[in-house]
Amino acid sequence: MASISVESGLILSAVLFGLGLIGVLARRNILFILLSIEIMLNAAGLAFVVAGSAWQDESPTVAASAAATEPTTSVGGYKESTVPQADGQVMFFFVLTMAAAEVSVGLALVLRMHSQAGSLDADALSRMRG
Amino acid sequence: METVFYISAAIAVLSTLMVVTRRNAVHALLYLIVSLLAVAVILFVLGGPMVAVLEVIVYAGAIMVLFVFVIIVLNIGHEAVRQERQWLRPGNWIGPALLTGVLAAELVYILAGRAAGVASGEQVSPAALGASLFGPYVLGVEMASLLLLAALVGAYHLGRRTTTRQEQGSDGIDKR
Repeated sequence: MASISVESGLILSAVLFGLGLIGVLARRNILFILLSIEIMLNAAGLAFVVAGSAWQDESPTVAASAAATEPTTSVGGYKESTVPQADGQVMFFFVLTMAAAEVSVGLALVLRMHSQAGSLDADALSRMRG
Repeated sequence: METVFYISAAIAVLSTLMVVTRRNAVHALLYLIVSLLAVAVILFVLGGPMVAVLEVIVYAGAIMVLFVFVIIVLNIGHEAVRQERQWLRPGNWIGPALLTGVLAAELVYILAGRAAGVASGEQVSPAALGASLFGPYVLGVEMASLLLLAALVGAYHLGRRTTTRQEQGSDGIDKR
């Protein structure tokens, strides 16, 4: 089976993260800043999944040794065989939840900023300095 | 499956570049949806069908709908009609449509050729993901639910104060 190297997946994730970082630094519209933060979070989650699938290749030996040393309980054996495979995707799940929470609060702040400052320019809030 | 990965990666990088460089928010949203769909294809190729589905539903569905709602709310008036006529020109949606067409061709290739092809590692079934979520990571799931509750209350609070202050200034201050 053809295999994708870990490096290519991580390079893709780093490129997406860098594009999001450029968006955060270069754009002044706060809606675009939120979009770029979403891009960065998504790239981080992709890196988790890539690392999880790479770590999975070495996990059968670990699971086999764990099952060989402790074959008594069926529940423990089930956990040992399933847990090391899904870790990266579990972390992606948490990143997804965090992104949903962040974007809801962020968009509420955008609406509030539009009603008070009258624009979506992030520099319009610079009066708060000092 | 390697070619599927690399084509999807190229689409993701290209559409993300278009997101960062667009001036119009709706154009950027279209390209961001394409980028998220491409990342979903990559996740499927990497052996995570469940997280690929979650990526499409939560990211490309729910979060992007939130952005669309906010853009709708912020563009009330005559300007919206003029902008809508301007946005519906073919030059604006032909780029995301072409990239999405490439992704659809990849989907047809995956479904027709190798149904359970995984490029690297093994495929993690939704049952294994659920067993891991509610096994050793159950505390994290509880913390995620608390985080979502806090976000719900916070978003409601911020939105409510905005509407009351828009309607009546003194009334909003009294309710606070």
